[in-house]
Amino acid sequence: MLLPSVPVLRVARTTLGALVVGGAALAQGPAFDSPGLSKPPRAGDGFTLSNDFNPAIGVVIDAFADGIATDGADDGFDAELRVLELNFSAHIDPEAWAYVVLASENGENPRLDEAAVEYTGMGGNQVLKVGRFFVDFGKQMQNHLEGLRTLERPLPLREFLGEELAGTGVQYDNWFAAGDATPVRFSIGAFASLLGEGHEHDDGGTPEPAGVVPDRKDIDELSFVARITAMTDAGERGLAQLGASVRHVPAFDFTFDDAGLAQRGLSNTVFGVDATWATSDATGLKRTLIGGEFLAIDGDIAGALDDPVTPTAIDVVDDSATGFFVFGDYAWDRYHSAGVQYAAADLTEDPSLDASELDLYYTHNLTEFRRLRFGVTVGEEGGVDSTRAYVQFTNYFGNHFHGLNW
Amino acid sequence: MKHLLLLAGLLFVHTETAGAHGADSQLRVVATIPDIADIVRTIGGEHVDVTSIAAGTMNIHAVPLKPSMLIAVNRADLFVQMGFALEHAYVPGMLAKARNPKIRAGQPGFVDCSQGWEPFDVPESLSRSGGTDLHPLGNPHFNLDPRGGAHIAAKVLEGLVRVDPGNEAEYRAAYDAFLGRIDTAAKRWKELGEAMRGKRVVTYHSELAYFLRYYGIELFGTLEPKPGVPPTPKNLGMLISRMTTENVRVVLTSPWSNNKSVRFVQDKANATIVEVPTMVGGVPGADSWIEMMDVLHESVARALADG
Repeated sequence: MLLPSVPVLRVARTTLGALVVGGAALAQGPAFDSPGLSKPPRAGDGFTLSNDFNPAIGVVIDAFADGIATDGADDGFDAELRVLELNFSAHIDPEAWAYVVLASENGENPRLDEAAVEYTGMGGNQVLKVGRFFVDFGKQMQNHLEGLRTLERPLPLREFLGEELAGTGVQYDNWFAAGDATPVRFSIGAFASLLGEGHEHDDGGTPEPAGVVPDRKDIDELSFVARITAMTDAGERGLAQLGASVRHVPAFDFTFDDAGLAQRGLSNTVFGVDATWATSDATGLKRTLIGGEFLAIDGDIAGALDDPVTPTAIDVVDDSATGFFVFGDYAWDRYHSAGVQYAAADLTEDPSLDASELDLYYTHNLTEFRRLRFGVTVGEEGGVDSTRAYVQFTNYFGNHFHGLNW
Repeated sequence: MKHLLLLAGLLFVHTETAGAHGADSQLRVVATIPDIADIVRTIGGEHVDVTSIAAGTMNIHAVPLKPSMLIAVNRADLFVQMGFALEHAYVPGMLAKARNPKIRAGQPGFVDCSQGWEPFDVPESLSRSGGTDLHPLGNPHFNLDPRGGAHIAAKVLEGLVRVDPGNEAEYRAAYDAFLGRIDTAAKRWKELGEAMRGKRVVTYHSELAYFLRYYGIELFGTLEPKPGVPPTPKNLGMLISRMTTENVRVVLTSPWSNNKSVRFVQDKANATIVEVPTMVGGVPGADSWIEMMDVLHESVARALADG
């Protein structure tokens, strides 16, 4: 295990000092979700406080300040308004609900994160979702960054699927009861592209080829994602959930336009299994959550220029890589929780190298719409150690809805 | 891709089959709190199979949901909630996910017990500055009003008759018998209540407001500065100072809120802490709505007599 260096201790002291600034408290359980999805408690509550707009409007501010030390050297502090999110949602009719999410990162021009319609008019528990939205893979990929249990998306998800995985397409979702205590849900979706965004390493600005999916493609070249998950009662107040997901991109290219280079006809597949267990005490306020996911990626998993200065070809890594993360969270009341997460993954650029992250975090919910999180991430990537201490502040205004599912 | 589509097709067929309810003679009823569940059992008798979402020891504003609840709501013939936004944290989401058209709001299988009840503490304006557990439609804890059981029973009766008119006579007979038992109990409660009138208490949350108001017990203060906002050292300090100055010694708490803040007040204000049930099953001996009210009356009366 990596030990914090001296600059790191300074960062940690700063963080602990900030802990003293705590204020009041938080809130309610969410709408029907399974534990671990971790959207903000009761965010999306359009009932307690009415919203007279149609569509309902919500805003999210997610900001953080952090200090990073790499291999013992203090890299300094920074502060970012990471996400300013604007979302709209409304029922279009009794059988269709729609939402739009626009997000601006670091004050840049807003981009369209999600714009989707959920149609429930097919009867039973079926849902057809059409548009652009975060796909149903595992338990963490549906969440936007500010809704995660940790500051960043877990390492193997970032490495294999990207910071965010939104696709434009259609997804069919359904659930059924297997007995009296086990709902089983499954989904399958076809998308124009499912190449993730935001897969970044600290490579010193080395140019990289871009992964792109051709604009026009045969129907069997559509990307798809599928998931099946079941949860069941575990004890008097507990829940256990298992899930399996797959994302397949059957046809994509690596291109480097500056040199007119391309590698075409590539494909890769990501498999994932996840497990979650949660329980609470008799009051429902003290809650324990344990979970993890294992992922594997196979196929053409990365591309790199043969020469970063005068490239003549794109080298494709046709290999497989694996990764996992496990976590444990404990909430001792509605206002305070703490957790630890450990993640490790092979690097897709070179699966013989790996990376790991250990996260320790404490979350103070000031109210149901206001959250402070303090954390330390100790990481290692390709032999380089780093430590990051951060304070994250997230604030929700108004109604906040996403198409999350359990 | 083809195999996945085939798998999805097979699961779809299975789902359509699994979703069909069997020929069960009992009505499947889901109640949000155990008080309602008890009253449904009392009136519905052998004709109902009742599930309560919350347990009596829980904070009703933060109920952890179990997978079996989703299935129970999906299969329910009747869904009964307190209303006044008491269950807003989980009912709307659960009803949406459970996809049971029989129990959607406005359908015969949906019962909102708050209908017809005159609430108090309705906020004049809705602002998030009013507190985390702000009740926009008024205080929803009328299950703790001595008249609350009869009101809930009337709403339950209406719902049962709507979805199962064939057994109306039995439901009405059970309802009448239940009212009779309440009348008998009310005589005990009135006697205890008269001795409590004019006394002062401190509570943690606002759950007991109906009970206190019914008997003219003064709510001297709450540990929570605002509903759902946890006690702050400043608020506790002021409360303890006032309690000491004005000799208020009784603090009422529910099982979920009997925490270190309560014990802090106990120590600093030399107060008597009384853990009272705020829902059926909240404390030993509170296994039905009438028993719960018995325990509540006796506990508060004893504490105020001693204090």
